[in-house]
Amino acid sequence: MANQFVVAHIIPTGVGADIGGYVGDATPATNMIASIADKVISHPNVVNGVALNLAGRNVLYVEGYSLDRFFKGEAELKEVEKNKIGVVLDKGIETEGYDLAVNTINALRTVGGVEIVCVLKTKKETMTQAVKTKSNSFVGEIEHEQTLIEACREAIKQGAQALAISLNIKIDMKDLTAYFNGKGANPYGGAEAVVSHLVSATFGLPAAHAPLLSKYEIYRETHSGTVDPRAAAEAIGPAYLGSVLRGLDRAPRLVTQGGDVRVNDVDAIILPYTCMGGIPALAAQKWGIPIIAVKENTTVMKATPDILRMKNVIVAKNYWETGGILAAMKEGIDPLELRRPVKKLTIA
Amino acid sequence: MIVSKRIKIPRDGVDSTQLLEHLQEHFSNTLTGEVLRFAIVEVIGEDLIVDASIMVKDAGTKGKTGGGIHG
Repeated sequence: MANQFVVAHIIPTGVGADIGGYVGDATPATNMIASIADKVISHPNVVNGVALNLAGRNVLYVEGYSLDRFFKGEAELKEVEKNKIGVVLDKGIETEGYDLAVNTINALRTVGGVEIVCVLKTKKETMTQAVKTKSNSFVGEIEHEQTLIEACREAIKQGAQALAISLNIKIDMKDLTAYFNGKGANPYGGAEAVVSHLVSATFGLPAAHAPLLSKYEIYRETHSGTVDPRAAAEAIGPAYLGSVLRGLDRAPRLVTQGGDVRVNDVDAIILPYTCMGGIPALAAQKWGIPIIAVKENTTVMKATPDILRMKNVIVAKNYWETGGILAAMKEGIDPLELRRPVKKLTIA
Repeated sequence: MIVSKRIKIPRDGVDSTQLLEHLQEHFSNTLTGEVLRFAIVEVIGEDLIVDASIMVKDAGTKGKTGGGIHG
């Protein structure tokens, strides 16, 4: 992708990011970046806003496992005009949850023109649960992953080129209350990432996850009073599949050669300052891709560039500074030349 | 089954440009099952503290190494 300015914007899931730790609340930052860059590679956690996905058209929606393969140099991104989507729902919840899912799917078909090839249910309940770590982040565990794999395989047989998964994730309601009050990480996030990683790793197709809520959870989310503004998209109606279907509709496919975007096309990666321990940042070190570490976007992680002794990292106070750094980089200006004092050079 | 695990991995003085390979090699040598998702969450002394999600298939099967913590 010669002469294109390509930026990756990554905010890990379930780590309580101040920006992007809720539902689609990093979309404005992503679209600001997309106004400077020719292409922005991002992922579902950054732009999924429950029913809403307002990411710009030059934002490439790439699930985490695929993103990792891309950054490791194992795969390239091939842009598409459209994907045919298969939807897989978890077994075991009340009718109200399925009604909400099917109405959401139909809304995206009739309003968004999204093509759905099938809606399937797993043969048994996957028993997916959120697990809180010692860092107060969330990860996930799945007891019956094979039933999910079987349903996905059937969806692919029916013509699916991308997979939207919606499982019921068991969470502690106290964690949901803390999250709605802006005092905890998104309890669904870590489990969602594990589900989509599993599906992408197994099939190599674009995939994303949306929580499938029980009747009680639907009531709880829509009767939580005035919640933290960043969680408001959930409180107005938990139609989570909406953003996922919108994202998968044009999600790039992973190919081993002949792709449109390769890892050596990436000009910069933007991450929260405390999240340098994932594959994109570690791969950036390997490939010499500059990292912009955003300090204001705090998380519960403690993997900072200084503690990991990283190189080639530019620390930005906030997304305002990030925008300026990117604009300089795009123009071929060393961002450090915009600051004072100017570093003196000496002859070695 | 997919389980989560916290793992302590000595850094062994590895440079930041080699950290990814260092972690993947550690997983290949010490874990059974496929690591679907991982990230260094903090550093204590010279030890890297890593949270990992691991797909456990057959006991004793050495797995591949997989992804990071973004969804």
